[in-house]
Amino acid sequence: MGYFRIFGCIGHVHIPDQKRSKLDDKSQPCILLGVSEESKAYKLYNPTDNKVIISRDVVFEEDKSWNWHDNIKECMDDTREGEQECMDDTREGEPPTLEDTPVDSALHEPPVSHDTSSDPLINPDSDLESHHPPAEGRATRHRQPPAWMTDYETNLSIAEEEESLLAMMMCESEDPPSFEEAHTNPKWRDAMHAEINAIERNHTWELVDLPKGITPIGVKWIFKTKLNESGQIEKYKARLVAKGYAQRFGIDYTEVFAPVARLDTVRVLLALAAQGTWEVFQLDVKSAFLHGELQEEVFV
Amino acid sequence: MYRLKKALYGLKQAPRAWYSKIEAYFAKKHFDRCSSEHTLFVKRIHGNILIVSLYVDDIIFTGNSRQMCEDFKRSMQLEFDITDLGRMRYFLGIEVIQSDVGIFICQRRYTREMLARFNMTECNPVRNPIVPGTALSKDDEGTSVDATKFKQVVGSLIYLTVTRPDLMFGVSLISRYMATPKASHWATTKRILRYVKGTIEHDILYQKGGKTEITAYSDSNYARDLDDRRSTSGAVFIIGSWAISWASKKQSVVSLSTIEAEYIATAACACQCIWLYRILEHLGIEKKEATTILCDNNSTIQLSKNLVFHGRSKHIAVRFHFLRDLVNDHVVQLKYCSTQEQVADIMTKAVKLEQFEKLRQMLGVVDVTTVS
Repeated sequence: MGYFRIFGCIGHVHIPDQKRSKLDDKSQPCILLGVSEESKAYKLYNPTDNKVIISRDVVFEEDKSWNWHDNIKECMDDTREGEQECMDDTREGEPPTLEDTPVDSALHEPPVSHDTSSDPLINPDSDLESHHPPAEGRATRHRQPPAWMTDYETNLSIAEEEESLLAMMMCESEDPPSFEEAHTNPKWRDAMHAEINAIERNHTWELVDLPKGITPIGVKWIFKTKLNESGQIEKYKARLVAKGYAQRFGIDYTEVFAPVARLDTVRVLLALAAQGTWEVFQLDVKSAFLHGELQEEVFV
Repeated sequence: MYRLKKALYGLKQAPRAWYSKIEAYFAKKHFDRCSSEHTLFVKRIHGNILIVSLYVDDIIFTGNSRQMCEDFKRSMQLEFDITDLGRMRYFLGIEVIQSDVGIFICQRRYTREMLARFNMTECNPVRNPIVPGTALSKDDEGTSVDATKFKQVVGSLIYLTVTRPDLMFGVSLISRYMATPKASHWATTKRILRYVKGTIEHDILYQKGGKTEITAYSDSNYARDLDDRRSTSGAVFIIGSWAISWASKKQSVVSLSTIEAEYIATAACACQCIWLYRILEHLGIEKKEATTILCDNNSTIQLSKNLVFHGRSKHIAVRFHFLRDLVNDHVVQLKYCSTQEQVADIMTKAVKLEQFEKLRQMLGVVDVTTVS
């Protein structure tokens, strides 16, 4: 109960050292949304850059709420007053933050002379600073669409959607990355059946109850289109693989070294074969690793 | 839940489990495993010999009896599910051409793919990989180049040295500058690629006849590296008149004199000789006399026999005793050869074009199109 805070109150989220330099603000004001589902932290919303933030390092001001009214006012070219209020709201006595001064409004601002006359309370120093906020190039830089774009009706989200659709069309002939995408396609289903048959024929596994305290290793499917020498599709291959990265040394495996031929040896062999005019043959074992017998107990 | 009795792909121990399985199979069939090369199996029946070499699931085999090869294939078929690829043609990216003149090994397809990958298909070919007198340093002036791409080129070229001993020195040279490559290093690398482009058809041809003895060449280049002044050792091992093994390596210690540099190179060469001879012995080639290591430094030869040149050699400890022991036990013998005949020269320095082409031929690298 001690962690509960009033919904919608102001929270000052700590900005980690790495994300700021010496003179930057140490926190940013946000609105509390609730607690995060994934982690033990609060979920907050930063209205100035429209972002949701998950953080544990928050100082709350439960008696205050976000001054939406002022933000709107800000956009209506009344920045000086809005900023003044904002300052009151969030950080007493600190210079106005960048977040509180959207670049938009800064661009639309009337000339300085008008500003100072309308609000004599502001000292000229802070005035100057607030008028050139993008010069410091901080993270909250507003992305302005290019000037020529203003003549057109654009909808970026639709363009992005089309792009991804296009990408999907291009990828159609490539190998599916997961079982979900492959199991509807008959050619991959056949390939998977063939692999399962090979595993069953080999007596690779037996159905058992999982003993207590043992974590099974996951498996996944890998799909690959095999091409022949001239680049034509030779066959569709599906391979069931264990997720070896989940194995732990001493429990699921101990020794892993396996020797392979050194190329020096292969060349010696070929040199001798040439001298004796012997023919050299080659053969390839299908699904070689399925033959190996396990010493350790592994469950999948 | 399934309990695995046999390995699945992806399991950490799957390669080992497979090796144990096939090793057990070879033991059952009375094959003899080589103790210095665990993937080499030999079977002898009445003077006939069958040699099998294993590379994970790729198996190559040869022998003087056709019958034994057929028997082996049939027994493999009973035990495992195999694909018979017939005569060896394509193994680990290496093309093998068995013809009447002999056996070619080449990587032409790999080379073409590599050149296309690095946009060098249209480059102008050159005749030698490194310009004589090229001096590179870690702190070379000039702009930095993309280290990732540089590493990719070096890695690709290293695999090409499997069939191309003539590239060995150049590749080993550029591979020292992978951390912070500069424009000068990149220019050297591109020259190697241009040389490769001009010599796609050059490959090793193993021919019939000749001696089955190993002749080793050992050479060194004193304090060649400008950054830490270490020397480069080079070695070439030849059966008949064709190179079977080669090396070019910057030595791991600083040597104080050319004798010491040469000594270190010769000791490393002797180690490789011993290993190669164990394999040859296993393949049924009897060693009649000590392996000859040809060396173009007379002082080193003298030093291996007698304790001379005390002033310059008193500090050479371990290698000194090792090589002396081998010479005393008649495992190896050191002989002099002139620098002109020193094949290992190509492994230690950028030699002049004329000499380069001569040494290249001595390595057994020939233009395929001119032979077949």
